[in-house]
Amino acid sequence: MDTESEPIGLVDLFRIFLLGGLTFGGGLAIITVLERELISKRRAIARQDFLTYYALARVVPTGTQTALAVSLGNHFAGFRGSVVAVAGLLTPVFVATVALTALFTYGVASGARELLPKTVLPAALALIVVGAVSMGRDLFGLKRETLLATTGFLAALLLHVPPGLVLVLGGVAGIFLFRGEARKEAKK
Amino acid sequence: MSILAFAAWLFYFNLLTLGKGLLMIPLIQGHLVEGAQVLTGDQLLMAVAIGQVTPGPGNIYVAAVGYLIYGLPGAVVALVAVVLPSFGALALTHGYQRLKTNRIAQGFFKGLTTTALGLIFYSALLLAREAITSGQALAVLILGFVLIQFVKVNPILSLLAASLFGLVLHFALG
Repeated sequence: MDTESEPIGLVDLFRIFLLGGLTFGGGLAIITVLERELISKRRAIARQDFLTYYALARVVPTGTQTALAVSLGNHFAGFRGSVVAVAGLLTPVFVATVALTALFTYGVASGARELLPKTVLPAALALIVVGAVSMGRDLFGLKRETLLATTGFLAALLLHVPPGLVLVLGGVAGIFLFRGEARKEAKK
Repeated sequence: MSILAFAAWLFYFNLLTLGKGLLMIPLIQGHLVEGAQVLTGDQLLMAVAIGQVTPGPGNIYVAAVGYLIYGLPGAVVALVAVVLPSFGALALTHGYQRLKTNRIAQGFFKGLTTTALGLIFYSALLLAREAITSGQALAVLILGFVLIQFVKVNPILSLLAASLFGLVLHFALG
């Protein structure tokens, strides 16, 4: 990861990640802002290093954007940089989430709250269903994937197996079911 | 459930689902709504809705879950619980190539995310049982689904449009 980086201070770091955190549109929108600020505008990091950190962030078992903030923050200013970058990235979403939840809890009149089951709640459920359908579109043509997802569904619904345990068992099954694919991937 | 136990559950959920907000829903639903009963299905849906209309990473809707159960300390604790594993990125810098080519890790993560998909449908079914209590709610659900899935309207706008439709139906039908 050797690169000729321009020094970026903690204030800059906070500001850049704050910009990323203010974007709507999920992970890719955030990455686009970071790429523009750090590579195109400031030439602070080589594109290859940025992509390597991105690949690393995808491997970490947590949100890709926060893991990328940790890596890039550390690249520019060590551990303090990681903390500052994460703080910049998450400040907008945290403040907005708490404000909206407080508004829902205390600010909305009880009459308006009674409307929620007929308005916002079923609309939010639609988002979950669409998310599941979109994720499933790529998998449901494939036999082993469909079998595993259906087994997980039935284990939770009919056998009442706790979802956490279903996931772990699914992971263990995946080691055997997707052995061939993993081997091909490893060869690449 | 103590706030520390809540934090530990979220930490575990986040780790298990690789930080993907959508995949965490069945776990929150199973353990906090059905199991410990510290949250209702409606509150979980509200948190998901809030997560859709806020900027930034998608899994931070858990702060709304924390707030609904424990107030502001709950929101902070939830945020810390899902962000902490990100610092594993520092340790991974060195072991990246090994993990990338590890067949067992690859198979495990693929199996886990595939199974999670089945669980999301399971979760949606349970939440629907609680949330779809009238014909109006069903109409809103269908409109929201059609707008996002087929008309390809932005999720935030779809959420607002479907909610508005529900409001109009409420006043029109009385």
